[in-house]
Amino acid sequence: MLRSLGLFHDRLSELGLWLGMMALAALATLSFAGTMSRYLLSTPLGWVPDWTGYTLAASIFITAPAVTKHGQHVAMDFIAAAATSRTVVRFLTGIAAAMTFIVLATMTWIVTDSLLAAFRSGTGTAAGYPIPRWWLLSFITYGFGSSAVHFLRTALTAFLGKEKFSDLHISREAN
Amino acid sequence: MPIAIGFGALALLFIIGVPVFAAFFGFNIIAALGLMGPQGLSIFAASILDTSMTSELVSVPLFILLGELLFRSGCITILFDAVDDIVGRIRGRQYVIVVLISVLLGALSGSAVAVAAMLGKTVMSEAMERGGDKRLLAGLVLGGACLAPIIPPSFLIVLIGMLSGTSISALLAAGVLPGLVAGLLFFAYVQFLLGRDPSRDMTSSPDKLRGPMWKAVISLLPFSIVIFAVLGLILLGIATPNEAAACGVFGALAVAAIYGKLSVRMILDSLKGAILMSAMILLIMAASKVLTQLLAFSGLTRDLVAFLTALDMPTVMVLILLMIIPFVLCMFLDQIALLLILIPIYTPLLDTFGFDPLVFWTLFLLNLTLGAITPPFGYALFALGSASPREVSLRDIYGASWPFIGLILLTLVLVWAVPGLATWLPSQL
Repeated sequence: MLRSLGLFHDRLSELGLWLGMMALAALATLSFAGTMSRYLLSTPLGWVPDWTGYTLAASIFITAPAVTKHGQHVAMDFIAAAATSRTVVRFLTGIAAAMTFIVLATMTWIVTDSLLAAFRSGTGTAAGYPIPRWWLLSFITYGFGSSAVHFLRTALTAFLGKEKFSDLHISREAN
Repeated sequence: MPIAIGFGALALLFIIGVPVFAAFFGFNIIAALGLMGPQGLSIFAASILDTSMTSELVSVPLFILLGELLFRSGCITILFDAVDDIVGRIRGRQYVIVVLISVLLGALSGSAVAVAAMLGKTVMSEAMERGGDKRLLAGLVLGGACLAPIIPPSFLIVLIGMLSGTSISALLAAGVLPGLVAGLLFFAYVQFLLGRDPSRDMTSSPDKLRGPMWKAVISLLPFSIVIFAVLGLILLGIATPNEAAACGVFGALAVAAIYGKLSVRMILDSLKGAILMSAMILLIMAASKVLTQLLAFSGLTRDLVAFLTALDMPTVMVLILLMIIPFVLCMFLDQIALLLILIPIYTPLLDTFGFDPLVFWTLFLLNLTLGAITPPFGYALFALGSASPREVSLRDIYGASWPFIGLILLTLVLVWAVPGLATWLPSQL
């Protein structure tokens, strides 16, 4: 059961990565099209700046779980890197992951609160081409929540000493 | 007091190895609770949303994508070969090639780590086979890597511009001349060193036959599409950084197509590499607005201004003090983390002490890039360590970095003494 849930979570994160890649391609294309339209056709696409902003926000947070899964976050982990004992490395990795989980779980709670308030009030973004704020807040909530789960899985894997909860490599063990 | 506790928690989270973005959010939560109570947390979602949909930040993923496309397409190899053919018989030829390629790579990519890894893997291995001095080569690669964030395109400049409220176009233009000056200093250093000790020059002659120079120059021409799309459009005042970055991305695709290196796999790999790195950076940035608001609310920046003013130090001493802080912290802290902490604190000081924002932030950026090559924790040192030939130890790389740290410091002094180096090009926009 846990393994299946873990697999589903990993696949969801990978799907987010693909959506993030598509969003990046869209960002480049929209910005380029906007530039060409403005200078070559003298027809500025007024909606482009707002929509590139929305796409950027969505792309950051939909990709965030994949960033965690792929171990791409920058961390000043020189103490763990200097440790030679496997047990110490596991312990430090577990502590860091557990602390990160606590922070991200708190952030998920904070943002969910704002998401629900925005949904209820129906407020839009302050832009020329507004969209409901809750659309974007949904991405942010997902980004924090799913990343928090990845860190929880890493912490459990590190403390329990089994690859049961996460296939995420505890990269520092390689040292 | 809550801010002090917050900074203590931030340091602890950094030491434990908590990712930088989460550590900043941890700081924000503690500081907000301490300063405003639970209602302080209500500003978080709005701040994160506002920061992450800031259109100025769009150039960050686009600049990163531009670099990824050029590196992953293999077009950079063509650049190496062309520069190799162009540089004639000159003392320290192979070293000069490293310097020239560094400057060109700086104008094509903004990542010091990518440049260090790329040069370590290619130019350095080849130059060492030809009898090159490994320490001098390692130093040149590290120095060259430092140029990447200074010469546009550079996502670090975009972040500095956004956080400090300075024109990003002007900041991008401000980095060009200091970058070239640093390149010239590297060249002069090589000539000086080889003049004193000619035995450090390459002894064996290259096996590869050099092609005609005209052919090499023509093979370089497609790269001018990218350089013009990014630098040219900004300097001519035609495009904003976002527009220039987007044009640069399509320019890089055109370059790859011209050289027959365009493939779906390459584009997908570049998109994947770019979005993972961008999301990591922008997640850290997402914490920035809350952090700035909390620092302003706490009165820390106001107190710092009052403290420095009360010291009654000459302006130059204040500048040195403000530059020493990032120089030292860069040895231990991540560059982007440092940007986030220091820029909101430094920005009010510029007006108080009458520093030119372009000169100040260019000096600050030079200082930050030093962090990437300063032992013991500079990223570029490790990137080079993993990419360079086996016989180059991390100890060699650490030793090699010091003369180039000195040369970048000399560039810092030159930019301070001749502010026109940073302000002239932006004034032409």
